[in-house]
Amino acid sequence: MTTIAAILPPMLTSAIAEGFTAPEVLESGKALMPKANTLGEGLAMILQDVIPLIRPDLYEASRVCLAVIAAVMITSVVQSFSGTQKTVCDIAGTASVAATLLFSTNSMIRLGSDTIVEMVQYGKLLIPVMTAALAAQGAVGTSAALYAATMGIISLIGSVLSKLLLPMIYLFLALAVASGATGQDMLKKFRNLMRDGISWFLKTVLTVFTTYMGLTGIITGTTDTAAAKVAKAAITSVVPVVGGILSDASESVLASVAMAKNAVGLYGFFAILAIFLDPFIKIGCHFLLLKATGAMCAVFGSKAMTELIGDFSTAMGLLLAMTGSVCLLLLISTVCFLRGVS
Amino acid sequence: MEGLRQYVVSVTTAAIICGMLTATLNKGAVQSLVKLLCGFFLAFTFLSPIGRLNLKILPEDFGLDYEEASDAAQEGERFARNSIAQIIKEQTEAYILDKAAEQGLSLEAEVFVSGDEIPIPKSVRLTGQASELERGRMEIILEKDLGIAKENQIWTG
Repeated sequence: MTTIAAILPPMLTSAIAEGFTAPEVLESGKALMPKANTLGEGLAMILQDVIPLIRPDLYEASRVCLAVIAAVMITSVVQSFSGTQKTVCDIAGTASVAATLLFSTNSMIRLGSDTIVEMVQYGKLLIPVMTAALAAQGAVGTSAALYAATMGIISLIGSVLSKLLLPMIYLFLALAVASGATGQDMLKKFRNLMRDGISWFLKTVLTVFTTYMGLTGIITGTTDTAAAKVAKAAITSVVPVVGGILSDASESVLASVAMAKNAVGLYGFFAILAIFLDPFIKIGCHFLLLKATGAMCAVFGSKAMTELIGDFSTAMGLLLAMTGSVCLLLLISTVCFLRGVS
Repeated sequence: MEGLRQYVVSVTTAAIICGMLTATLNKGAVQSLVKLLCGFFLAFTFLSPIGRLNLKILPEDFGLDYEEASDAAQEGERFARNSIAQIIKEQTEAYILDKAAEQGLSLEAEVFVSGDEIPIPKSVRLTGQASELERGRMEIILEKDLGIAKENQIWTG
């Protein structure tokens, strides 16, 4: 910035910085937002702030898991004395495990949903700034194509996740509870179909998006490079003194805009991570501890209850996949804008 | 989207009802019959809405909106162009003042830049005292070095 300031008038330097300012991180991400100038430094600061969050999240998740273990133990004891009433015990046990886990699962799903909404909201503020900055560098075609793809996908995935896939987690759990209570294979198959459907959708969207973003740079980059060559030729056709001034001015503005774009992109990168990480850790702790609980309960609990606990863990896994997908989409998009046209 | 969600909910509900129903019956002819009926019911629930399913899963504001994208890109292009035009204006003015000083003139210069894609100095307003000869010399310099035609050089004062 010092070099640029020496070339550009001070007012213009600040005008470029003001013209391309990253939108402020949302409230939920402020706690983890690092004040760093480089990627490595920022990631290290985020990591330092995130690690202390793990312990309270683990405590919260482990309280839930202890309640589940208690429910499974009690059910096992009753089952061993129940004689011919095993079916009733199975249903009661399944219902007790489901009731124990439902409240925490519901709050995790709501947390996941809010995180997705916030990331999408932030993305819609960040992408136009990155687009303008990249276009100011001369990559007009590339910036428009990246903008269209990113905003389109963000709108789509935000809508599909909140209106379809997140409710499908509840349906997945309903099928899991029903199959746990009844032992019906058909319900297990429907449950698996739902899980596989959600996974397939997320993988497809990510694959299509990353492929498109990768190809866009190659295709539109050719057009932008050709346009830049035409502009350069036009400059050299102008009278020498003006041509020299024009050339210097263009380079100065390009360099300044590039720096502003990089600063905006870096801030946006950190902001997306800051919004994403805390909920990710909360849901991740629930996911891991439920997996461990399922493994422990396999020792003394019935197969149905162990599977049900595994299904709740899978639900947390699906939630992680959904929030992680949105975060990854936005990060990939930000990197594509930062990379621009080579 | 709402239609698709209702479809998924109805299939799931039907599956749960069938599962619970068959689980409550003891093995035998009745259970077999109920299973068969549940199969038909599930198949009907699964397949019949497909024909009239509204596959409008895309949100209202979805679209690879190239117009909006183009507007955003043009905003950046405009900003860069205006920044370059500002630099050209200021540096051209500085150049004119240097040349005027070489001629022993004390002038004020205001350069107007073209609105083309590549901004170049188009006209200039010069304020200050100068004889006809001195003006003539400046006009030649401005035309030759900066490409500003004589008719676009406005002298005041």
